[in-house]
Amino acid sequence: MTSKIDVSFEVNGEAVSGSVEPRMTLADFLRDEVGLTGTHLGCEHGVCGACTILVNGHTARSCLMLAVQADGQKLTTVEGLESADGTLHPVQEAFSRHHALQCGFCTPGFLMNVVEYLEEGPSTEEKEIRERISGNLCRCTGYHNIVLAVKELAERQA
Amino acid sequence: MTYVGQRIARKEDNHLLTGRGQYVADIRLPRMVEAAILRSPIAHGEIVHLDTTKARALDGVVAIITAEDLAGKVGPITRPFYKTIPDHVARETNLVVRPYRAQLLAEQKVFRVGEPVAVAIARNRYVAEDALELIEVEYEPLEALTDPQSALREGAPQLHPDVPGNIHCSFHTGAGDIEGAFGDAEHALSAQFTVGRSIGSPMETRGVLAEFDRATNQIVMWATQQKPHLLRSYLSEMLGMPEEHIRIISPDMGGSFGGGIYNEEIFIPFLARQLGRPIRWIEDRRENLGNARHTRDQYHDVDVAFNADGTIIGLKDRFLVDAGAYNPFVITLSYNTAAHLRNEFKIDNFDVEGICVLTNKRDNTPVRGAGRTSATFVIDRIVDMVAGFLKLDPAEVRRKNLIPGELMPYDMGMLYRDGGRIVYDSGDFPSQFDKALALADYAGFRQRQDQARAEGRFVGIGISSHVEGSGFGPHEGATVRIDQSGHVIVHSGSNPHGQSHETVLSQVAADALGISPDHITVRAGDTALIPHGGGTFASRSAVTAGSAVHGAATKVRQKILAIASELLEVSQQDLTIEDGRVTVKGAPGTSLSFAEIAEVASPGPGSRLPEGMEPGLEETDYYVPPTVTYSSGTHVAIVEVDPEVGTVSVLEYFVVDDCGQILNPTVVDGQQHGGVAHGIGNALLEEVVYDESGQHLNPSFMDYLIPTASDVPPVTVEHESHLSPLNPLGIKGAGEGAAVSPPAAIANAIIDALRPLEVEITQMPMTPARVWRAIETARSNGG
Amino acid sequence: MKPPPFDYSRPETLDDALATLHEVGDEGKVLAGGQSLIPLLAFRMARPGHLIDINRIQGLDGIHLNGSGTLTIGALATHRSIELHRDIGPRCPAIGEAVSQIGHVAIRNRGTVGGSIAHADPAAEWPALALLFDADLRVRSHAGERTLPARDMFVSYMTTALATDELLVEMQFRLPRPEAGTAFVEVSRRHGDFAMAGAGAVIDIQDGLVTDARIAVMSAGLTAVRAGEAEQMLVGQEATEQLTTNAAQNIDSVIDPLDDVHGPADYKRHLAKVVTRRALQTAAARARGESA
Repeated sequence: MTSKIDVSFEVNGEAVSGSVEPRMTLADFLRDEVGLTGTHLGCEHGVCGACTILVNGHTARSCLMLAVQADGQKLTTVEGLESADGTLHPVQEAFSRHHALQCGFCTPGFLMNVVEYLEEGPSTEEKEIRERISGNLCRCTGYHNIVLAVKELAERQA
Repeated sequence: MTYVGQRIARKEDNHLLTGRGQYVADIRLPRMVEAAILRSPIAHGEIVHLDTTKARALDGVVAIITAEDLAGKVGPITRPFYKTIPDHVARETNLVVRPYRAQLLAEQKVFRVGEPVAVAIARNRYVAEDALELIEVEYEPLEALTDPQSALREGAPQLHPDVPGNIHCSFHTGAGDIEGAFGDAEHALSAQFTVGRSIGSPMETRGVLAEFDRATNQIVMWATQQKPHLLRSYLSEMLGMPEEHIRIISPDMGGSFGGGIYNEEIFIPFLARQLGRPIRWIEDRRENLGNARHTRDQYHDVDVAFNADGTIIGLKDRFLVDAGAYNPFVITLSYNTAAHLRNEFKIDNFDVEGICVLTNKRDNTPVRGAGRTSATFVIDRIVDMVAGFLKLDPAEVRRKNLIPGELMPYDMGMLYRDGGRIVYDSGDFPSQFDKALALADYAGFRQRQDQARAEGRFVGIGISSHVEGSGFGPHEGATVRIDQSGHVIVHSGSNPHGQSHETVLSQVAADALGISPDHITVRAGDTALIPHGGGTFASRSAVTAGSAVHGAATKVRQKILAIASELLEVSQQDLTIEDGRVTVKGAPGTSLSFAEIAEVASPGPGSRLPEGMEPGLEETDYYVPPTVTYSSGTHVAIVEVDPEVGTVSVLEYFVVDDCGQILNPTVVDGQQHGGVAHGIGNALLEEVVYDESGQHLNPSFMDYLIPTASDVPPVTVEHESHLSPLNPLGIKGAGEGAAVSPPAAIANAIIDALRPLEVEITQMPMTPARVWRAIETARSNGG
Repeated sequence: MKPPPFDYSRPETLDDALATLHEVGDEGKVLAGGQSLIPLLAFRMARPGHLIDINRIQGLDGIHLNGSGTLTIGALATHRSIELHRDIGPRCPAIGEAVSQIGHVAIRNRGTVGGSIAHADPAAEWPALALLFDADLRVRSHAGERTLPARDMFVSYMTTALATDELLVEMQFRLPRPEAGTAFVEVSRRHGDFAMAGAGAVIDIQDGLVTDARIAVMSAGLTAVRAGEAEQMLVGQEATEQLTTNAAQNIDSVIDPLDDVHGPADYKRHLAKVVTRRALQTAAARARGESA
């Protein structure tokens, strides 16, 4: 049994700390210890993108980070997107309006990806948008409406 | 209808967008422990030694379970997943089904890579996986059968004692006079097709969380299950508990696309009862790709008879299904293939034989499309081959063979699996076809194609159509209740995994009752809600649950009118219902709200019900479809091939769909988009690969490739709706059809793109390596 | 799919990291971006006894491009930081094209250049780029420092010349002069997947003749490789379509692709030649100042 390591970080503006086995992934820590189950695990090997969160504002696959690596970082998960008064984030709102989600399992990962994309000054070109979201897998929507939602958000910013 | 057919915003979205969805893996219970499963590393063999001592000794381990621990306490799954095939179907199709013995955990033998051998239950999943590594197992390998041809050869090992020749089941049926057709035909040709093995791979893997309460002797279990009621009846039988003591909850589900009952859904609740602790098992992706059941995997040998004008007059197909180690769906998949093989075409002379062969691979069972993807790939390639043989444009030959609209409803001359005759109940295939070609600008494309060819680019267009027997029975139930506040609650026996039941069923109830969907709550996915339920599969929920909700809501409406008529002292004909109020026609001031009616309808001294009426505004309806209803669609794909490397890009995609009455066009369009993407995956990317020893070579998302946004083009969807006469709203299923046609449409488009090279494609998926090989073969043949 | 147990340390300084590496010996494994290592842990295909997380060490993520074309990259620089670097892509399209094909943005945000080179996956871009640009690899251990030429680094499949107590700290890529053309071409099943074949090329042309030709091929054997013979065919010649095609055909002796689930070896051998030719022709066009 390896010794546990103390870890503390900020998630969605709140301080979190704990003591973890070094092998525990950040995704498992967020879900099982912090109780933020909106971050989903679809593959646990970094391909599906469902567990995407923001680490210091940049997307990361939380299944490809150890919880100990989050020490001292600022994290944002899907639970941190909506405003305190329940107003949806513009990305959430656009996804809903365009029917860009069906079962909703992949959705949190897409949202986090798109939030970062919009921060960077996005392209409005469909090919670019498709490439940008191609690291997130969805089995329900065929991506059609996700692309429409992202395109609209990007155009609004352009 | 005010709400049915409208693009109402989804009720499901808010909680899913904000991280408040609740999937099985999100649920934790006090004292919960977690399970991991040791799975066979070999395809076929005897277990000669099994020692769990070291694993049991590991800190944090609660139990290590093997077959020995289950013996005499809980048996294997023995029932097929559908009710027995009706006798007349069995007779008419020459059905043969052999018995085999399944196992929950491997007893003496393993029959496939991934078969569960032992279960580790521990403090958490990390420790449970550590424990698996400490279980010692020695296997004596036996010869593995990895394709049906070798399983059928003389001298092949027989996998199960009562399954001679490894043929688990077979049928042989048809229509018309096949020998006569081939005798009369001006031409005939033969072709063989291979449909690769794929998997549904929803984004959420499977999961089970089971809790046993000793005080009430009840099991509560959360499971990623499309058919919670069926699972409950299995558990009741296998665990020897009354159904009432078992509650199955299918919470939010991250897709599903196919299923049935799984061993884990039996032994996890059994162990939860045995150990007295809640146990959670969450499938990981490696397990999912190897162990959630696979699909497709068929080999077809086809003969077609036709005349010089392109009219097809006879079709013969003998096909093998690589059924895998067990075949719990029996002929569901293979018979679906046979029943849909003639597609939208008028081919009156037909002979089909389907043979399900057991091998040492994962079971081959229905996944979105369920046998129709294979059928459609075969027939739509055949029609294009006939066109190629006659040097005609494929569109011309296709159109010539479509069942004319004026012949509908059309009797295909054979039985469906549910016992009904296959009678296409509604639709106009030529009109649908013309609309699809116009949408894709087929004529204009030919000009653009000439231009592209002149520039050295290989672009092509391909067409596929499909029919889908949808809305499978035997029944579906719904309860509609109006509470004291006037709010409407709908309980459905069919539960969603992304299909928007909350939204669309509330639309159906809203119209039947006369109230806005905003005042309706739909709940599903819990056996405690309604005694009987079917579930979501076979593109059935809109048809069956929609009809049941309509039925139940209509009964409640009748009750409301009867009560209001008594209270307001006017005849029912003089009442209307709008926005949750019953109003006297022409006297808008005289009305009663649903809440007021609910109050007088409640039991007790204040009750003011018509003579003999039961109290409460609650009705249940079980809809029993006479047989399936046939939705259909025509797809057109435009692709570009890079012939040097064999890669295929789908540039444009068009769908004209006929699902009868549309409940919510936004939702139906979404089903089309998703189905097309799934079909593109089957066409170009997805293949479960086993080697000759039965090892599964690609159990990761790095190597099992589901389509990304960059692999799918924008999909243009239009509808041409012909109502079904078989149910009250005229609904036909929309969930699976769109996944059926893409492989055929894309194959035909690739061949069209490469027409100057005279390439032939008879295998899916059409990987770059295979497309390249086909081109090389054509070139070396002088094409 | 949960990682097996391991000990963990996160040194704050390079010296501490090197001391720990020395101390734990064979049991040690360096955690940089973790984008390749953590999946291996999840599949339990890697079982290090001790993980040394170097992410807290300051100063290992520098990126510097000087006027003479030496690109110095610290081991912890991320793929994304190279991709977004203002000067690198325009100065050397091959690097921009290669890096943009590494996984997806979320992976590139965390994956590191040093990690990729030390991991030595034959299907990864950075080993091929290191070979293509004759990188010098600065390697440290508790005992000292040495410089390893990239062509001595990649020993076999995911195996490098690094000793167990050595850490790759910095890479110096020698870019060709700005007028030279470079290109990197891959064929993969999906956007962001590991390539079925990939090749990078440098072509410099002066007075109509090739003065410098370099070819690095990836995903076509146990390691990424340079194709010296094919390069030699081009030097001193005119970079015609015919000659570049012939040169690409001539990489046979240095590649050895294997069958896998995405295709048989002969197909991948063919692909390697196609991407080599395409990379050469694009590089040549760029060297000639044609838009490509």
